[in-house]
Amino acid sequence: MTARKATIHRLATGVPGLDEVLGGGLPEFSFNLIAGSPGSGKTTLAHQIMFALATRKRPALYFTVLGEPPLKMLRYQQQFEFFDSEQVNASIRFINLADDTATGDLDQVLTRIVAEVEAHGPAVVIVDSFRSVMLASQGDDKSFMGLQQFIQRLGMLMTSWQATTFLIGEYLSEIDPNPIFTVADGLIWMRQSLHSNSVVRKMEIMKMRGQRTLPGLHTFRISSAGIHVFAPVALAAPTETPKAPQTDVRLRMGVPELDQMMGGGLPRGYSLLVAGPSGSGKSILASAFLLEGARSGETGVIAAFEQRSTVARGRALAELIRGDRVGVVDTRAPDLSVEEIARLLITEIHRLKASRVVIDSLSGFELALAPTFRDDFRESLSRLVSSLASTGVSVLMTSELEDRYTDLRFSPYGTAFMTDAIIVQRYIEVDSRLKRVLAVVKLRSSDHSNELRLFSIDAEGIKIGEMVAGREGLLGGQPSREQKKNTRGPGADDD
Amino acid sequence: MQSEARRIQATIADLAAINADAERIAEVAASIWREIYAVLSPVIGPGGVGALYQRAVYVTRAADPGLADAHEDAPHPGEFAALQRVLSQLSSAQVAATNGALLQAFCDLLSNLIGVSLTERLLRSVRNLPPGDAAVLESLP
Repeated sequence: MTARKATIHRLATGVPGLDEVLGGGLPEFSFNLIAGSPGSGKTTLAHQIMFALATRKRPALYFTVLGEPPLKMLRYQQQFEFFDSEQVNASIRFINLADDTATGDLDQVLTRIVAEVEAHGPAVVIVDSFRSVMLASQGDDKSFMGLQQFIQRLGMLMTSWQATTFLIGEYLSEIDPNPIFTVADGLIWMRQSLHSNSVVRKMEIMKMRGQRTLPGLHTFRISSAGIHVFAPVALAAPTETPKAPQTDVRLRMGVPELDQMMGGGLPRGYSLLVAGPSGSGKSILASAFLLEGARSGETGVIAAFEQRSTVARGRALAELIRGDRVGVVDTRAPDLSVEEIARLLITEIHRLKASRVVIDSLSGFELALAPTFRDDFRESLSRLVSSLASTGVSVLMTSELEDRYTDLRFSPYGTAFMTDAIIVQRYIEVDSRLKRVLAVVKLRSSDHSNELRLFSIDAEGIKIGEMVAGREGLLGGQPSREQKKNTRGPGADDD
Repeated sequence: MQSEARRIQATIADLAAINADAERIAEVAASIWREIYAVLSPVIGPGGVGALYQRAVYVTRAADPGLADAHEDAPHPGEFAALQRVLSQLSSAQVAATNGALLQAFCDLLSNLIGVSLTERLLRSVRNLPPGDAAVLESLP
């Protein structure tokens, strides 16, 4: 006889990103604890899940205990878009347990919960807040039942009644484990992490029986739409097979001479870093890249971190943005995380079926991040680049590079190794004029020019000129005239 | 007046229109308030309904000083015995008007806090006449 294993259905929580973090959704009939300090978003999370899961046939019961006055909870929760008043008293029932809890008799509380569960046959049960139940039971010798027993019986009853349950708990300490930690199938911990002047919301799935959750702290944001969790980007789309770059298909850069220097253009699916000092023309090259894509019928996405209007990026690009041929990722939200930007980019890439992506610039990107993420900027950027690459798009990133002239650098973050291609722009001084040069420094698995070429910028964009003839020491910033070999005797270097 | 409040008040207005005596109208009014209490207290808590009711009495008694005595209901939320007593001492038309003003004030307060749509949604569960009080209407001429 073969014993068939129990099937655990996973429920879609209706909270963007949460199902991925949970490892595929919320296990049906699980008994969960949502913990966190006041203001961390516990009640909002519970409401959002409840409105997503409740149906007329299998409603949701929301038990309010002494904690937050229900009037206030309803007043604030209804501000969220997911709050549908029509569902109240139809698929969602709020039940106040204040009177039962005030007696301090947990037996009575449990009896009342069970009676309501029997009456309504809910799919989802929420007890808000568990802390109030704990406080009510404290120091009361009359209580027939201890807290641990209450939780165990509640957990068992709810699972038997086929209800997925959430207890909301405040002020629970991770160091001082509560009996509920053992009984609960799932433990979702919500935090607000303070770093310098910025506060970032983070969520951790500390426990979820029966499935592999994504470990670590996951940032989330609360907007009028509710909670949005930003799952790690590299793991965001496990079903998609990463698309390998195609070196035989070349994307034109919008600057014909540059395409020649790159052996025909940028191989499709490559990531390109354009590094250079301020004003050297990185953003102009980035715009040219998107415009060229539009000319050949491709769409693009731009994440612009420099504080300027789209018009300042050129009329042609502004036109493409207006016509929805180039999508713009909104980067104005404070305290961004790399995961959030990655998610916004990927959503926009999918929406427009985009093949070209511009991130302008990495320096602006780093500044837009919440301070707490800056320490891990390289690691996060690496994840971002690889997740973008897995979608098959070609990425152009710009990076501010201070001209030092004492050493040859390509990016301030050690990001050079992450990208498939690098173009460096620099200023040089020739005959008391500041001129621009560029070179293709790296183009993985492809021939490319090794020339340092002068270039200029006019109303039509970048014009690449000749090599700087007869000069040497260009990368030192102050080239000197090339000297003919063997015309001077030994010791000439000493002057 | 919001549509649900108007519907609830209609029972009282109908009684006043057929000149039912004030005592009976007050009885129906109290039973309607008990129904409102039964519908709202699970959602916003007995304390929540009690506090809103007290505030509604306070707001309405400026125009109707006799209503001040309805405050005596405070220690027994959900009973409305004092309200019934106060109303029964008025004329039929006055009972309807006073109760209408009180209901209006109560609904306005609730709408201010939880919005019109949720207020309407919740009050929709208030039945036109609680079954236990059906006899009140039946006994009318």
